[in-house]
Amino acid sequence: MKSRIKYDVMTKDELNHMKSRMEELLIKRGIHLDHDEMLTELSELGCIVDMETKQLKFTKELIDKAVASVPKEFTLYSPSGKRDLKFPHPEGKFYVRTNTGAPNYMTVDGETHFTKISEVNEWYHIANQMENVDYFTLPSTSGEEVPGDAVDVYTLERALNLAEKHIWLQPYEGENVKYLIDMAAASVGGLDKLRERPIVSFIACSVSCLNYKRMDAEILYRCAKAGLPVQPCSLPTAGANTPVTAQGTAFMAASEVFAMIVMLQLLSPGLPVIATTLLFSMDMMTTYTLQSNTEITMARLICMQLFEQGYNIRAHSYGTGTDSLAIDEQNMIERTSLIHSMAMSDASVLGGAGQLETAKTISPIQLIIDNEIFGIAQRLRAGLEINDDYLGWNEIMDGVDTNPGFIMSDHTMKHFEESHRPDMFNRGGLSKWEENGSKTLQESAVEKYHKLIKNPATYSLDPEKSAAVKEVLKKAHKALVKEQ
Amino acid sequence: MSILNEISELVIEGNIEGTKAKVELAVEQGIGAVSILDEGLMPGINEIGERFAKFEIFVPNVLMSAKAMNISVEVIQPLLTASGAKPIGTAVIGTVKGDLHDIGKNLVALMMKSSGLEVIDLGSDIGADKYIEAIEKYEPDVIGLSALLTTTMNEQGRIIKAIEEKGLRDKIKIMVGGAPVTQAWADKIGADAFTADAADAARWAKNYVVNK
Repeated sequence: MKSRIKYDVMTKDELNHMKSRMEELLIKRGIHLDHDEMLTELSELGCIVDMETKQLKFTKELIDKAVASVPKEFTLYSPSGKRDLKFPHPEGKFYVRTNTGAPNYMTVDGETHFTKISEVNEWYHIANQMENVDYFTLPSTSGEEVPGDAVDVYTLERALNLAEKHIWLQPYEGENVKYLIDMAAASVGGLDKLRERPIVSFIACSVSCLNYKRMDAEILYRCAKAGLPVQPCSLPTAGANTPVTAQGTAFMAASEVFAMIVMLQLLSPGLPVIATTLLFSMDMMTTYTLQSNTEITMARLICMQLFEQGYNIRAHSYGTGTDSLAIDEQNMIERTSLIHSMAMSDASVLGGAGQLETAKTISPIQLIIDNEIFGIAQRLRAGLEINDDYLGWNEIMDGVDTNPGFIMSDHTMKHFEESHRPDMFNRGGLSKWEENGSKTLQESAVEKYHKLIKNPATYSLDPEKSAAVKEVLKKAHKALVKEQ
Repeated sequence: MSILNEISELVIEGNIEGTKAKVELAVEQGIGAVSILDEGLMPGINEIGERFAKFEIFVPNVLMSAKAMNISVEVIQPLLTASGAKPIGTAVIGTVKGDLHDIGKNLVALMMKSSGLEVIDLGSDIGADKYIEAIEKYEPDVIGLSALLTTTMNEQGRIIKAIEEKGLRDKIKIMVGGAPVTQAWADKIGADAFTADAADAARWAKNYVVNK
C-alpha cells in the first residue's frame, strides 16, 4: 500500500517561490541564536556570525550543503523494539504521536487538573495499547508531586520504564538536556547504543520571528554532538508573532524550522531530522490562541508540501486537536476536519493524539477516540487502487452475484477484512444499540478505558537498566533541583 | 459637537494623527490638560474597552485606539505634570525568565497605559532579581508576570517566592497571565490575580488601584 491521495495546496511555481524566499530570508536577514559555542562552531563552518549581537546568517552554499546531508531514510527506534519507525513509512502512511506540552489532565471522570506523575503511568499504559499511535511525548507533569526544576527528567524516568514506543522529549531547562540524554542512554546501555538505535528524539523550538533562546539552542547543540535525532519545531501564532495570513505564518514557521535543520546538518551531517511546524493563530476578537482555525489548517498543508516535496525532508504537524474544552461536538468537528485534510498532506508525522483545549489538556478518553480517528485517517491516506482484482472483474463476469452471491465469494473472502472498522462506533442498528445500553461514543470510550486499564502492562524496562535510569535521576535531582 | 467629543470619537475611530492634531488644537484653544484627558480621551478609550469586552470589535481596532490615546497623552503630559496630575497607579510588567514571548505582555502594557496607569515594561526573559529591583525602584501597585510556555510558567512561582523572601510581597499585588496559566495555577503559586486576556488585566489593575 502506498499513499495515493494527496492535497497539493501549492502549485510548483508557488512552491519554488516559497523555497527561494525562505533561503533568501536566512541569507539576508538571518537568525538570532543565543548560544556562544554554537555560534563559534557555525562561524568556523562558514556562517556569517556577529558574536556581539548573536546574529547569524547563512550562505546559499551552506544551505545547499546542509540540505544534501539530510538523511532521506532513517529509523526512530522504540524501547520495546516492536514499534520501530522507518522513515519514509514503508507503506506510505504517516506516523502518529501523542500530544505534547499540555499541563492539564482530564481524568476518565471528566475532572481536569494539573498532570500528576501517577497519571503519567496511566497515560503510557493506555497509549501502549493504542495500535494507531506510533510514538509518545512526555506529558507535562506539574511540579506538585515532583520538583518543578526537574519535571522533565522525572517524567522521562517514568516514560523509559513504561513506554514501549519511541519517545519525543521536550526539555524544560537548558541544563536538564544533558541528564535527559544520559537517562535515555542508561536505559539502553550507553550513549553509543543510544546513537545507534535512538529510542528518543528531541524537540527544540524557535521563538518567532527567527529567535532561538539559550535552552533550545542547547538542545540543538547537545543533540548534534550526541548524534540524536531532532524534530525542530516552530509554534508561531498568526497575527501575534507572525503575519496574520496563513501563508505568512507557514512561511515563517517553515523558515525557522529550516534554519534549525541547516544548523544541525552543518554541526552533524546526516543527523535524522523531522521538520515540525505546529501552527496557531490568534483570535482577533478574544486574543485567544487557536489551533483549529481553518486557514491555519491549510498553512500546515503548505508546510508539509514545502518540506516533503520541496526538500525531501520528512515533515510533521498537528493531525488532530481542538480549541474546545470538552469532548463535545465542536471538538469532534474540529479534529476530524483537521485530520481529513492532514491525512491527505505529505506529512510523515501527525500529532496531537489525546489533546483538548488548544493542546493544553490531555485526556485518556480522547486518546482512545483519537485512536479510532487516526485509523480512519490512515485508511483515507492509503486510497484505493484500481485494477481488475479490486474491481472484482472475474466474479462479475462469471455472474457470481447470482450464485453463490458476493457474501461468500472468493473475492469477498480475500478482501473483506481490508475495510477499517472502528470498534467503538455503532454498527448494529437501533435495537442492538438500545440492547447494549444506548451508549454514545464517549461512553463507549470510557468503557474501553476501563477494560484497557485492567490489562497487564505490555512493556516494562529491564530491572538492571531501570536501576541505571534511577541513578541518573538521582544525579539529575542533585544537580538540578534548587530546593533540596 | 464639542472638541472634547470630537477627540473621543477620533479615539474610537483609532485615528492616531487625527486625535493628536485635535488634542494639540484643544491645547491651543486653552482647554485644560485634565479636561482633555478626562472628558476627551478617556471616554473614547472607555467606550472602546466596553465594545471589546462585548466582542463587538477586534484587537487591532483596540490597539489603534490605544495608540491614538497614548500618543495624545504624550502631547499633554508636560501640562498634566505641571498641573500636578498623576497616573492612577503604577504597574511593573514583564515576561518571565526563559520566555521571549512578549505579544501578550505588550498588549497588557498598552491597555494598562490606556487605563491611566503608568507602566514600567521590563521586557522579556525577566528573572526575580530584575522584578525585585523594579519593585524597590518604582514602588508599583501591581506587577505582572507573563509566561506563554508550560516550560516557563514555573518561573512565575519562583519569582513570587523570591519577592516573598525579600519581604516585598505585602507591598504589591501580583498578576499572572499567559496561554497555559489558569486560576488554579495562580492560586497554587500564590498570585493575587489571574486574568485571561489583556483587557481583563487592565480592568483588574485599574479597579485595584482605584479602590485600594
